[in-house]
Amino acid sequence: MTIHTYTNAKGPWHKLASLGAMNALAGISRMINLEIQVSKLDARGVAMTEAQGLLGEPEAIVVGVYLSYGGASRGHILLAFPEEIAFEMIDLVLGQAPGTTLDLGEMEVSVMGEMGNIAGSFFLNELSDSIGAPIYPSPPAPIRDMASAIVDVIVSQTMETRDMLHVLDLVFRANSQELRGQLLVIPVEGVLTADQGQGP
Amino acid sequence: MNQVVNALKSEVVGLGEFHVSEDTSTMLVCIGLGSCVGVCLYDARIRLAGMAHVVLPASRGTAMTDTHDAKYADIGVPRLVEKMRSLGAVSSRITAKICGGASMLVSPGVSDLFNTGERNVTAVVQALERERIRVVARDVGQHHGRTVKLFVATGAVVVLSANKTLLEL
Repeated sequence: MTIHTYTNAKGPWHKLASLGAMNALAGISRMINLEIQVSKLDARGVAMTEAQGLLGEPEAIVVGVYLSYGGASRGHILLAFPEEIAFEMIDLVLGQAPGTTLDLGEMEVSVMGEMGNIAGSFFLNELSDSIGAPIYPSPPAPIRDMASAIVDVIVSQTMETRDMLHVLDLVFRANSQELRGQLLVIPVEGVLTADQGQGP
Repeated sequence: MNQVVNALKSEVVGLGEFHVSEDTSTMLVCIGLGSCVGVCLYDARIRLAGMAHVVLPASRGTAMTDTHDAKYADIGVPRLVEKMRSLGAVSSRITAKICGGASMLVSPGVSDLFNTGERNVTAVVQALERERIRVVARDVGQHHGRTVKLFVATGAVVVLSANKTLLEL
């Protein structure tokens, strides 16, 4: 994997989360059998009023997989793709010709759930190994909706007592095809927010 | 209809904000509501519109900043009503239309954690009742996102859902 852009690479939170993100991509790469490149890896604070743009155009239809995690740390993970890209990913996983998937049926939802499961588990395993404490993912929840409505899910869970989200934003693409997706990791409490004084 | 809509200015009401407008060439818009609730208030006599983008049901004593005046239903709704009153609106004339409050996650294992949408709707309705404002229409709940537009000139409210259905409240 190649990192083209690596910004704000400071603080243990970012280092840990970056390792986890790389591991998550390795899992996705294995699943779709394509090399993946990272085009953006950015850890930053996002104001509540700006959160709606986290996945791009707020009204664009996005297919995502949501997981929460708990244990030594608590937070949220969202793996998201533009709808047409998600369909291409599903075709790849199922060994179908491109353009076969046109909607999310039971099988397609299952594929997306598994993709989220792999990304989330690989991410959290890396973190868990790094800190020597257990972190557990929830079952994956595939979701297809407006980008902003999906972000709403996380915002409402994290902003009860604050106005800022701490976000790890990873944008990636497969080497030979124009496949791009985003992995958002939003820690709420625990080891992954321990260095908030330095900025995550 | 589309030509009329395209000619209007959009004033986007962001997460946790409220806007009030008497500019009849404007529509107030909440984009991509998930569990959040869009509260649309209108005083037809003076053509004054107000919209709040409520994120959470209750402040539980949390201090609110000036920029996020409508983050919590229990504080945001009264503040929106107060602002409209200060511009000449009368509670008995104000009508409310609400939308959003979806339950976005329905998968086993996580759905129980997220009834924020339902709690938001309940909190907004209760806050409006305390202000003695009638809810005359609603499009709430279910499992999909919505964009809501409130036309200042007429008080009409249009809801576009993620599944591309268009509904006028």
